[in-house]
Amino acid sequence: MVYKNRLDKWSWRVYPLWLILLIALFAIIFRLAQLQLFDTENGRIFLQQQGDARVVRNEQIPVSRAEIVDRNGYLLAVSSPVKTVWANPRLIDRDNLALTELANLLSLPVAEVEKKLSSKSSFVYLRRQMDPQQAELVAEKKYPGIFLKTEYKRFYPAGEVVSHLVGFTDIDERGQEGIELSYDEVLRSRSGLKQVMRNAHHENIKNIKLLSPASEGQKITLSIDMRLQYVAYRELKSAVANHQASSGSIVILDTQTGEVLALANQPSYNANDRKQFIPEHMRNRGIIDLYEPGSVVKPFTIMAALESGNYDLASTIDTSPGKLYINNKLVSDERDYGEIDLAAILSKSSNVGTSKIAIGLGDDQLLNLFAKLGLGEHSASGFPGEQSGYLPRYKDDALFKATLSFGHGLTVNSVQLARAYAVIANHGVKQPISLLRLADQRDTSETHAIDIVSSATADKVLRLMQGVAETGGTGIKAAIKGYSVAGKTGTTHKVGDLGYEGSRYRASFAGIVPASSPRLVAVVTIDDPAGDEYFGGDVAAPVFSRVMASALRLMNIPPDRADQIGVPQLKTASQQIYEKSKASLKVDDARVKHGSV
Amino acid sequence: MSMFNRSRSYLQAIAILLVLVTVTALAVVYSSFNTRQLFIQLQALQAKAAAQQVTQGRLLLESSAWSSLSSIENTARNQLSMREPSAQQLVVATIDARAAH
Repeated sequence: MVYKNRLDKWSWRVYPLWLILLIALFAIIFRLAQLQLFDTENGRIFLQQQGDARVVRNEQIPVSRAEIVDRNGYLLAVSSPVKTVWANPRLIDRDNLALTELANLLSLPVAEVEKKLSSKSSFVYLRRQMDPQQAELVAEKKYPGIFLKTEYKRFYPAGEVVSHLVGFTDIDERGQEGIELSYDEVLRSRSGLKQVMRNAHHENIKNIKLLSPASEGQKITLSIDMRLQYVAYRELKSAVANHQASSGSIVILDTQTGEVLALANQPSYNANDRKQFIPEHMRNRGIIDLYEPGSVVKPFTIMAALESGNYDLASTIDTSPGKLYINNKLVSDERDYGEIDLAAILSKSSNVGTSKIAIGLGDDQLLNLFAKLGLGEHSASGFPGEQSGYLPRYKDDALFKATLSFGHGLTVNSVQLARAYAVIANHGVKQPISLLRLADQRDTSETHAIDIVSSATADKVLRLMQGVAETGGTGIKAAIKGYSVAGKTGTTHKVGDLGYEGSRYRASFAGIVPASSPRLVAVVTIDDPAGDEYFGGDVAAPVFSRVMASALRLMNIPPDRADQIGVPQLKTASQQIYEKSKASLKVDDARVKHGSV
Repeated sequence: MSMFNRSRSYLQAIAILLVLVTVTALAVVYSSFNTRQLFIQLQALQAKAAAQQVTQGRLLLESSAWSSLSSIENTARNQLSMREPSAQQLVVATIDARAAH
């Protein structure tokens, strides 16, 4: 009884307890309702966010950078998928990780992997751009906290042969040099982004939506013909080595379209191997290096002379005694050539001859022509880092005119020089330079071709230039059997810190083939040949001859001097073939009769 | 009487709706199961495509290594003893328009 009384006495305490439990129940119900039913920051949205944070992921849709190919589709730069291994050090249980095994699979020193994994961040690259098959072995181990990502690596199959022009990208596929840099926006692909649902094993279980579509870059087709490029590079390399020269370059243009068919430089580098990158070797000398052209501009002086109307093919100039003093400065020839015509001025490369012509020309005629030809003017080829060169302002001074007439006092690059030569080849019409392949049928209304001189003048200059590569000319070594060559040699002293250097030269040759109906223009320059030979005619002209002989054959350009080599003509050739086949038929007949076939 | 009828037709409607809800619920289950299956297939095919892209990249590089002009030249000259035809060996075939007609 006492017991019961005690319970009665304290029984009121159960009611507050009930009340508290009831409030707690309502609070839970309210919270559940809030989470499930109300779209507030603390309600359903909170729950949704927590859920999404655990399963929804944004995933990149990788796409590769577009290719660069030559005019025939030969691959020059291509991206290939590779795997990058990365880790989230926070997710890694370092006590249970087979560190040595992982390091071996990554081909990295154990200490390096350990150092990377001790990082405080939640993302470290372990190894970038691995061979996909090797990376697959890492993936198979399913190490927690270690992941693979697809990236693209740029490869340059043609290597050093065309590396200056194509350039290269950095590890993130952004253009750094050459075409890769100048057409970066065109080539670049933008990877897309999609939202996916992922399970605890990092497997995608559902695509939710596409956040941004992937956009692929556009393929770039260069005007380069790799076959010509290769021959040019090979011959240039051997010439630079044979003459112990410091550098060299070759530019070959299609005279009709203005497309650059080859642009090779020495020394070169292999864009696939970043370790051997030496800035000095990475310069695209054909476009970037400026130099005094020297005698190679003499055809333009002759062009100005013919265009002025004061000279014609038969005009002669007295160059005796092979020396000329202008304002107390000496202009001299190799020897006294006496009274010679325009053809001989070119073939002997007479400085006195061109000086006399230039002094006789009215005011700024010569300088004007040089400017119109684009000497010292940016070629607008679209190549990054092109230097435009320098053309002086006109001075009413005999020495100024004279030095200009044999290519001193101005600076150009090889591409400009080739473009100016193409004007001679192209009957006086200047075409813009293109590093990209032009559509086969160029719309004539849209061309930016400019008439520089009359076609009659250009053709006369072309004819006069042929003497250079013939017996007695300075460029005889540029001759190509079966083809007529029009060209001009050049030898200039290099400019050092203290002005012209006495024993350092730049040998050059610029030429047009075949001279009877021009198709190709080439400019060869070889810098600082160290051997006994340093004249353009001895160093650069043989390179021109070898490269262009191959180029003409590769381009299926028929010989125009068939008489030189006695090329059998079609009629006799077909007769020969016919007779041969008849002869072999007879043999076959005989064999059939004797049962040997 | 009419009360009874009305409530009966209500019950019928509810029963029909219940059946429909069950059917569509099952359809949802089936289609999401189907989606999963197809998605797994898609993932597998995408993985296959990626693997083939890797192979293609490797083959592309391999083929360009074999077709590098210097290796072709080397093989042609040294192994096959090939050489460029000399100028004398060339035969020039010009198309004579009159002969063609």
